[in-house]
Amino acid sequence: MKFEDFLGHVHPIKLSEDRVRIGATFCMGGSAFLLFIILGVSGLLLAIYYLPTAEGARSGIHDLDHVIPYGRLIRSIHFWAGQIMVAAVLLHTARVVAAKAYLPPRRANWLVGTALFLMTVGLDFSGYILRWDAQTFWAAQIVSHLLGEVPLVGGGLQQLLLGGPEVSEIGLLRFYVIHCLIGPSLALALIMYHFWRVRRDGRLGQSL
Amino acid sequence: MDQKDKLPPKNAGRRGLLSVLGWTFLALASAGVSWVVGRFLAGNQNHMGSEPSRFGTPGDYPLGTVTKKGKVVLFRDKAGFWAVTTVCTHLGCQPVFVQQQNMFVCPCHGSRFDAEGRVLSGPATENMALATLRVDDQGILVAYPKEKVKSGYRFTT
Repeated sequence: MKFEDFLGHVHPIKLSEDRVRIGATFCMGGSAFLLFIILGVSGLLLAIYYLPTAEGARSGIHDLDHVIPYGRLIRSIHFWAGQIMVAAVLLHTARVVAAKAYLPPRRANWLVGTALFLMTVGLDFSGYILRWDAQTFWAAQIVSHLLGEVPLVGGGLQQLLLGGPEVSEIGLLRFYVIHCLIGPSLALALIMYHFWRVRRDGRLGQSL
Repeated sequence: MDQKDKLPPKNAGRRGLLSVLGWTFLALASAGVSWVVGRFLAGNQNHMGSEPSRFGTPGDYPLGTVTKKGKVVLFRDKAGFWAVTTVCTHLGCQPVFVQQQNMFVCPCHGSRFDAEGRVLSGPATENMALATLRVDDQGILVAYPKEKVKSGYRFTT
C-alpha cells in the first residue's frame, strides 16, 4: 500500500467544501488533538528518566534539565504543549458555545467534550504535581483538601487520591498512574468517540 | 479512468519539484528528530551517578571499616583509605560488598570483584574504578568518582 493511499483514506472519499476549509477559528479541536499526540510522545520519553518517588522526581528532573542531552528540550516541549493544549481546549469550547453547537443533534457530543475538557485540566494538574517540589507538594495539599470538602463522598475521594490521610509518596505514585496511564488512555478512548460523533452528527463548521 | 487522467498534468514540472522538496524536507526533519531522540535515550554516561560522595572526618573511620555512601564504598587499612566506585564494568549494575567473603558481587550477572575493585570472576573483564579521595576545608573526606585512579591507590591524611 502506498503512503498516499493511506493519506487519501484518513478522510472519507467525498467531503463537502466547507469541511476542508480552514476557518477563522483555526480548528482548535484538531490542534488540541495534535498537542495530545505531541504530549504522548514527549511524555513517553520523559517517563524513561522519571521515577515517582520523592528522590526519583528530584534527581530525574535535575538530570533531565542538566545532564541528559536534549532533556530540557523534551521537558519544555511537554510543558508548553500541555499549557497550550489547555488553552486550545478552552478556545474550542468557546467556539462551540458561540455556535450554539451544544444543542441537538450535537448535545451528546457536547457532554463528551465537557468530560474531555475536565480530563485535560486533570491531566495538566496531575502532571504539575509530578514535579514534587515545595510548590507542587502544597498544590497537592490544597486540591486534596478541596476534594475532601465535597459533601458525603469527599473524605472517601481524598483517601482514594492520596492513599492515606496526608500527601505522601503513596499519593505521588497515584498522581503518576493517573497522569501516565489512566488519564491518557481514558482521554484517547473518549477522543475517538468524540471524533466519531463529529462525523455522525455533523461538524461544527457546517450550518446547523 | 477517463481521458483527463491520461494526459500529462499541466504543471508536471512544478509538481515534481514540490514533491522532491516536500520529501527532502520530511527526510531532514525525521533525521533531526531521530538524532535528538537517540541522544536523549543514550543519556550521559559521564555525569550520571558520579556526584562526589561526602563522608565524615577521617577519624570517624577506624581500621577495617567499610562505609557505603551513594555509589562509593570507602575502605581503610593500615596503608590508608581507598574508595571503590560501584559501577560494574560489565553492564553498569551496582555490585554489593559482601563483608563475610570480602568481595563485591554484582546482583545482575554475578561478576565478582575484590575489595579494591579488581575482577575475580566474570562476566566483567575490567576492574572497577577507584575514586580520588580528598579532605575538604571542613575536614570532611570526599570521594570524587569522576577522577578515577588505579587499584593500589591509598589516601593518607
